[in-house]
Amino acid sequence: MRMMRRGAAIVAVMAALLVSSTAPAQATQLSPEVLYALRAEPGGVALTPTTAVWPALGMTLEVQSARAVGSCATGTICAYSGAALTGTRLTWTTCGTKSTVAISTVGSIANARSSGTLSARGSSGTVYASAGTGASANVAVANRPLVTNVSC
Amino acid sequence: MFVSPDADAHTAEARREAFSALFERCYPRVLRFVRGTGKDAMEAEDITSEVFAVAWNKFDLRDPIDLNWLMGTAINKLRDHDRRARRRRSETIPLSAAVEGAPTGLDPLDVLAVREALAGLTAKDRQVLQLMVQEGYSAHDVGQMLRRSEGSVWTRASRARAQLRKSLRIEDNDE
Amino acid sequence: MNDDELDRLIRAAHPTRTEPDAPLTAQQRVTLERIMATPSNAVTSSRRTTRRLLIALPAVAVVAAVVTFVAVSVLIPPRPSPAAAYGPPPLTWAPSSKSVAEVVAVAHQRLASAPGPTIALRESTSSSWSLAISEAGEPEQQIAIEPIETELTWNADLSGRRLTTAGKPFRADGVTGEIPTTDQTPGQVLADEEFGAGQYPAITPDAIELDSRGLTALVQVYAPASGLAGDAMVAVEDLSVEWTLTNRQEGYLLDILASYEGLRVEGTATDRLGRPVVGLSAESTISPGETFTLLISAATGRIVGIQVMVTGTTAPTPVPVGTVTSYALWKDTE
Repeated sequence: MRMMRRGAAIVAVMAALLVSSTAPAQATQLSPEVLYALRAEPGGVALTPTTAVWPALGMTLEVQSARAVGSCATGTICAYSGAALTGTRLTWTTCGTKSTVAISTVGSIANARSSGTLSARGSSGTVYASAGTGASANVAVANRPLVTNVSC
Repeated sequence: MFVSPDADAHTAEARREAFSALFERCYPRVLRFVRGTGKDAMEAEDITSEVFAVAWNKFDLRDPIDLNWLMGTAINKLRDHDRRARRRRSETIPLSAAVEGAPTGLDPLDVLAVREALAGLTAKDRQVLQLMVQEGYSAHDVGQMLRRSEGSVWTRASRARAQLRKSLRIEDNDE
Repeated sequence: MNDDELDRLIRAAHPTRTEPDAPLTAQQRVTLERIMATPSNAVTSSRRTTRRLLIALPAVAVVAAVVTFVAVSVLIPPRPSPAAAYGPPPLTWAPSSKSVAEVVAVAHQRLASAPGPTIALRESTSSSWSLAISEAGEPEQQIAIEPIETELTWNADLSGRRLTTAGKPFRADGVTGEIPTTDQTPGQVLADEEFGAGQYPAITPDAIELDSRGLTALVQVYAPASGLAGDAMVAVEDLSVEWTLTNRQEGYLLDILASYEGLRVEGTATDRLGRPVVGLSAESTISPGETFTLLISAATGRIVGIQVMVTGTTAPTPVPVGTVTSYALWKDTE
């Protein structure tokens, strides 16, 4: 779930007030995140099942099930030879234990899937970095040559 | 000019068998040595696995890899790894670990004193003592691992022992 | 105490009781299988040759059929299609007679008068490309190189934003001409990540105070003193990808790099953004078989790019020697 602030207003989302606001007729089609936000913050209008706007606040809510992380495409997991998603890139579309021996070092990993945690690990399972959904992580310099696989 | 798929598969199988045999024979030895430098169990496994991953990459049936090459590679990896690691006291082993490794009959504090004295040697001196005394390799083999002459290995070993005696304040009696 | 007794003490000091001939543990067997599951350079090359030859056969048959067909019609020679490559064409270097020291001295002169921030800024704009290796472990050949543009801005509290967009593609074969259609359109947003406080994974959270000594210590985490300069270049890349350093800090980095072994002047060139640069190259110890080249702006003396090329067979990435596997170009101040 991601909020894009178009205006300068800082949105303080109130604790869940189950106030039925101007919810559109097809409320059952809305994603749970949009439903929750509409209930918690009055004045919002759902545009699609996954987007809603609050014009007075200049705020838009966009629910994305998975998002790209840098150059790591949506729905995939990636390992890079350098930190901050630089260098030769290995990509996989499914989870599991994936060998990174094709690159000498693993400097960063990116998890563009919508569930699970991606770890960069050494051969015996030591975890050197972890990235949650939609996130990336760097491996400390000393450990970059020790990573032999990533796993989720 | 074709390489028949059958010959290719046959070579690949032979390669796997030979590498597995090398791994089975040598992995515990390399691991023991890496562990002996003070790395904890998991880190030692990682570094040892890395040595064998490099070995697999260059493994060629016509030019076999031996234990000496593996140990030499491990030494290089350890040197690079230690240099890159953030500042921490090398060879700092918690006292509980020291007690765990001590054979019965020896005061854990004595064992710790020897470890500290070993840590005070230069890397090369320490490696020679580790490989010759702790791991039991011949001076010839150690020479191969360190890419030095057998003679220089002997010299270094006796110098290292002398230094160790000095650190432990032991008198050298030729009994 | 004689040697035997001393040796007994030394043996007693070994931190582990594992026997040298212990059987493999289950975990170690898993490690063995994992290592052998990856294609190694020694085997891959012959397999790849086989595959390429097998693919060549059917194509030959098709061409024969086409030739027969067009014999009765007017032969229009087909436009030559761009050749696929693993990476972009390498930069064309004009040799320079300058030594590393001279290159660095000239850079210092430029840095003294070039524009630049007064303190290090937590922002960086890059145009970069890297080799992608598929799920099957195969490096992907491209006919068009599609660089990505990354705009990163972040704050001391680790909040920030990283916007990734598609850059302008160019042909991988280096021939000027029609650029093949690509999946992405230039300017298309590929990723727009917003980081809340504490969320941006900074490599170097604070470079603001780093002076000559601080930067030296930082680089030494990557490369021991008097090691290979290629390792030190990774430190420079890690800084440049997050920070816009001051000209003074750029100068310190050049001096630090020059203190390492194996640094050499590659020459002068026009980089992939059309900027005149001087290249300094070196190998690294942690990435065998690769050569790192740092690009120094001829205009400002700032470090404005890095390129990694496979130059030896010890590189684990299965691409031919001479392949550029990644590059990154950072915004200059002029």
